[in-house]
Amino acid sequence: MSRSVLVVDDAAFMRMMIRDILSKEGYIIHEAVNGRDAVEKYLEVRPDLTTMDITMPEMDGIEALRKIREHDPSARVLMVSAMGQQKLIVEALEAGAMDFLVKPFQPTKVLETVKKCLQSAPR
Amino acid sequence: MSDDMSAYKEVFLSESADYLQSITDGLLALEADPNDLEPVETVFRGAHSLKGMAAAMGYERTADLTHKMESLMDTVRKREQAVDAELIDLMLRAVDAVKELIDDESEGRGAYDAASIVADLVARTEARGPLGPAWPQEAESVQPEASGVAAGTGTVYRVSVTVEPTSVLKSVRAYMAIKRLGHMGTVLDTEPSARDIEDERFDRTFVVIVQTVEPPEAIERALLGISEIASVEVAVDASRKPAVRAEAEESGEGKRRIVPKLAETQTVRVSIGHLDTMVNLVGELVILRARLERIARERDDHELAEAVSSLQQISAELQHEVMQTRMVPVGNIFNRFPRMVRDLARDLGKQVDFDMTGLDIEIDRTVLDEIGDPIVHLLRNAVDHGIEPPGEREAVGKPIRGRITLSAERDRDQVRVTVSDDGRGMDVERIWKKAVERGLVSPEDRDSFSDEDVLMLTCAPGFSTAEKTTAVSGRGVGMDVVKGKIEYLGGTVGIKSEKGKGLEIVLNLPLTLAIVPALLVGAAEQVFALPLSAVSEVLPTDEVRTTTVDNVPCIVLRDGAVVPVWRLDQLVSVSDEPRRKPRKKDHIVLVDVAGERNALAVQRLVARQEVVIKPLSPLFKRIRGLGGATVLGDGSVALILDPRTLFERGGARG
Repeated sequence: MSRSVLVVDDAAFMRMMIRDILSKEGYIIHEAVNGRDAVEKYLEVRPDLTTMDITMPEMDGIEALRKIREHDPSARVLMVSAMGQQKLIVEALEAGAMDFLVKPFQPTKVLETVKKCLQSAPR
Repeated sequence: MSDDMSAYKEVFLSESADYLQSITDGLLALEADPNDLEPVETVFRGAHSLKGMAAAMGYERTADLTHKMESLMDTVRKREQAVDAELIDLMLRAVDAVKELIDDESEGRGAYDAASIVADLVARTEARGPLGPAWPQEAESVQPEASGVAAGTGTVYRVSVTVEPTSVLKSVRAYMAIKRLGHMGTVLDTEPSARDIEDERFDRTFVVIVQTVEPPEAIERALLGISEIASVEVAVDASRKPAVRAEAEESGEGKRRIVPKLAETQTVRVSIGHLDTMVNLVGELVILRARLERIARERDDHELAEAVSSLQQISAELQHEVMQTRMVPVGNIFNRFPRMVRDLARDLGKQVDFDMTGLDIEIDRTVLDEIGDPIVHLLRNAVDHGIEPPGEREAVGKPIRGRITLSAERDRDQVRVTVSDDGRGMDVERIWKKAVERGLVSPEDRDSFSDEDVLMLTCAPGFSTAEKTTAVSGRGVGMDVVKGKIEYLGGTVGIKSEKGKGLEIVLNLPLTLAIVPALLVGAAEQVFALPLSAVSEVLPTDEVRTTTVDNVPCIVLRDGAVVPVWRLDQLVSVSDEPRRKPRKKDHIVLVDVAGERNALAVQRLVARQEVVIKPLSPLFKRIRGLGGATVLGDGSVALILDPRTLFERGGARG
């Protein structure tokens, strides 16, 4: 059965990149353009995994992560961050994110991390 | 003073300021809850530490004064002294005196006389008597209840974890691993130490000693589920078990202490001068890079272009890091506000609870330095005009004590500072009426103004709704100055109010100031940089009509507004030529500062780019209209115009 991934990023370019990497491997992709949108889409499509950018307009990724996990404590969320956001990553991990990716990233690394997240038990 | 001592002096001054702050905080907390033991201890310890430090510096009078404060607090600790408003006032006055005295003694002046405050402290200390049972003296004896759950049972494992060679943020990976192990059992120790792991002082492998009932395979599986973890080895560690376990049980908090606390920042004190120099140097690097880029382009040199592109990446990172080091928590200036609000409320006979949140939010030092005054003004307005006197509050069924909140939060590349109160709020219709009376708006436009737009009219120059002028906030800086300052910083102001319910003022501020986007314009053979935040429009001269009002050249905009026009070459020249109209080929830049519009005629539009603001030498600092200087890509210097003062200068002569 194909797994579904909700890709959250305000940059269309980043969404496209992650979508391309994952859809080639058979994942079904949904997209959201900011934190608020992400929470709505999450509730609508209930994806198996969400990749979440941290710095976004409207609502940032960490707040969106918290909101999503409020609705669904077993939500699997993978943070996507830029260099130098160590503190925010730790904050996200504390808030229940499963893992993180640092931009710029290699396609293989993305696939491997996504796979690991889907195999692990949700926290 | 010897050289040795002068090195200590800097540390003494900065640390004593911290102690005075914590004493002040403690006194205010004590005032709010006179039965709270903790602030008493804080104040007592603070005075005690100051005494020791001052004595070590040879500041005998400071040492004596703080000793008297300590003695008085000691009687409070022993329950021989009531905590009342007089005691708090006396101690706060003593804090002020200590500040003065430290200034005095560190400068070697010997002019400040602390005799009267010392006498007051002694008198109050001696006027003591047993009030009731003493508070527990030994703070240590009040131990938190030990957790009922038995400390870890199971086997002690030595888990050695190796991260992938390409892993970024190794310490966060380690943190994830240690955290996951913490969920499975009790983390007893790490190799290297938690601190070293936190600082990434390990190559690729670190070891976690964990006690758990889970089988080794489960440990391995859990850790391999984290990305960038290359391998995990789990071995039984029988040797450590008894000793380590006893230790962990004894300390009770052993487990929590071992997990690296990555979220906590570690800090060093650096003099501000060093940071400013670093920003300047990085600024120069950025400029040099622009020059190299230009050379590479002109010579069509690909090898150079490639090197420059790497340089670009590194210098961008360096710039980011340096800007990061200039970030300071807003608490650094917010911490003086509780005292201010308290004193003000007392003077005005108001009862106010003051809350602050987001004190750890960080913002560039230069921005922080600039927002102190506007916030002071907003807080004063809140106490003076917002919060009603207790009787009035009671009459309308509000809690007698008013509430004022100051909060800071990070929103992407901005910091949002909010000042809110539950006072009488602003009356939109009254403000509208006033604005009409002042000729700021026409009565028939009411429909096109939202309530928030109307509230913003209070920020228009000269507008004030204070019916009567009080010593506190009716005069002096008004909302127009607050808005002007915030906009100069590249920020925005918002107002929300519900009549009778309260007021909320929101300041959106940029994180940093040292680099600003600017419009480069040419006049009098020179290039000037105009901060883009003040530029509202650029128009070719032939699209505007020029006219003269009271001998002042003006332009007529498309919407019919008449705006005074200035020629930049004349504004910056030293001659006293009368003001002349713009020339045919000039470009008109419409400058808007806090709603006040002026048109600037410039000869050339050069570029739009980010400029690094460098301070002017003291020689030029007094010149109105200039805000700093910057170096352009070709190495030439451009002056940065200060739109707030640029036209005042012309106005004085015009």
